[in-house]
Amino acid sequence: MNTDTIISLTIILAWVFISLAVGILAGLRRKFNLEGYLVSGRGLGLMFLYVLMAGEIYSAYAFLGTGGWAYSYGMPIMYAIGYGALAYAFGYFYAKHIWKVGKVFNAVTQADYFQVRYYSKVLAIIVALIGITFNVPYLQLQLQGLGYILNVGSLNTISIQEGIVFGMIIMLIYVYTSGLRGIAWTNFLQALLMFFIAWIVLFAVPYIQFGSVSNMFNTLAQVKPQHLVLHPPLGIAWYVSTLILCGLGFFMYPQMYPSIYSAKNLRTLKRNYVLLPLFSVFMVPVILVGFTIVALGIHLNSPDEAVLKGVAISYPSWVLGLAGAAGFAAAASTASAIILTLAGLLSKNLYAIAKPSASDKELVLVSRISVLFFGLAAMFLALYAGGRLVSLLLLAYAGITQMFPAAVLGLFWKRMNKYAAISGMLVGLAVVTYLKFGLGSNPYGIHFGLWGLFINFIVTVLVALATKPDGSFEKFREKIATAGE
Amino acid sequence: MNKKYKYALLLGIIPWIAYVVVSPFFNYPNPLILGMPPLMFWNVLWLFLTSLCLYGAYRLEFSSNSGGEANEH
Repeated sequence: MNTDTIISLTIILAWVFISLAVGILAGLRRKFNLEGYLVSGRGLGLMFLYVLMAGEIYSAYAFLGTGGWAYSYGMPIMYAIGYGALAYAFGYFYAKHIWKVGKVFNAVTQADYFQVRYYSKVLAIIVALIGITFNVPYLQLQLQGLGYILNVGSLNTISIQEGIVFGMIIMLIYVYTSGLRGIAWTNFLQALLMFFIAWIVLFAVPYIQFGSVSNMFNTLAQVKPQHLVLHPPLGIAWYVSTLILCGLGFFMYPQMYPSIYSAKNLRTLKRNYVLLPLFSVFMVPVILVGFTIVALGIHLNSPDEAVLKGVAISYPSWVLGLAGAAGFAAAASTASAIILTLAGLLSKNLYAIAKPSASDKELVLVSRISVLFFGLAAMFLALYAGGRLVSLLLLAYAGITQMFPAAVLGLFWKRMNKYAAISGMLVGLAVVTYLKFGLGSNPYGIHFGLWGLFINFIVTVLVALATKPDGSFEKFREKIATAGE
Repeated sequence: MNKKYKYALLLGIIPWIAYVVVSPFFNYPNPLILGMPPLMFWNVLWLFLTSLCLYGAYRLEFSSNSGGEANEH
């Protein structure tokens, strides 16, 4: 081991253990009830809420994947810059309803919201199952990213497999002991480091290689001119439909719900959405590094290496240790939130429905055990079934978005009932599954998930018109109208 | 729904128009604006403008003399 390796490794390990210590301290000597464990007792102020959300939203995909995409395809990656802003503009108006549901009905998961609105345990179970099914591969991908980053950042002294196991164990310890409170505290560190690395280390890469960003793009125009524009198959139709799909689908991810419930009041929640688009700006340096690698004419076997490659060729090797720590931060902050969310769905919406007499204390225990269960399951998938689930992953947004009509129409339309919600969701899922695995292409260049959403929407409306309103809407509105402080 | 909340909703729709409707018209390789191709410049600019729109919505909703929404606090 040479000096560079030792410095890199020390930086990464120091960072990982600081995260661990902070995560454990956040929950030490606290006795959690279910609300305390899953939504931090609905008491988070603006700063913790902001870093909690930024950390869980911006994953290893944002930190490495967007650069890899810019490297492979060029301009179509601009969808990633745009859809976050669209989602926050939507969330600014949508999230307050969710928060009120949490406040009035003590909801702690996404499925809770559906159960409260539609008075249907079957629907809650379907929503919980959709959330779990589509999130396990997403979680697995975070772990693979984490293993990969620790491997490269440590200059190959930690193997990918060791990285996966090591990262997972660290996360499991603090999620198990401290729940959402632990995640909020560690994400504070993670978001800071990601921001710092993006703006100091990555932003300088095009300057180091080409002197300026314009020079880099001018070179790119000669090396790969098609990288500067949207072009089929990832043309304008794809770009616009993906923006819409992701902008709307974003708030259907189950891990969004606990963080919304955890806000201490409505003003804090809304201020948070005012500020979140600004965090997206950190993807700009990441994408610039991806473009820089193309402009340099470097060929990569694995496109997701682009960002780390950019760091490796521009800096002394110990800086890779910093980038590795930031990559760990990006992956761990997202993965930990997903694990806790899945545990919540399993304990509150599957276990508690199967055994209604379960006490709060028992549910906390079930949640904690589910944390271990999901963490270890994802770890084994990442270790032994790596890469095989990519097609499932591409399905994730398409699948998750199918909850949109039921979630949103239910807030405003009194005819919406459980039959419309369930049939729309199931038809939407059938359509995306067929287009993805049966047909295998995007009709007219429009993202298959948006086709599913479109047909889902029609079915939902038709069924709602054909069946009788069940009065669930009035009961629901009446109760949340009283929610304030 | 009071008037101010309606204006706030309009502010929330502006980013959707900027990205979904307007941004495809910037799909050209040049000129470079602040070093970036037009589409990239537009999309990055609107991250800041989206924050500004939502801040406007927030001010409308929670200004001292507004109605229903603010009374919840």
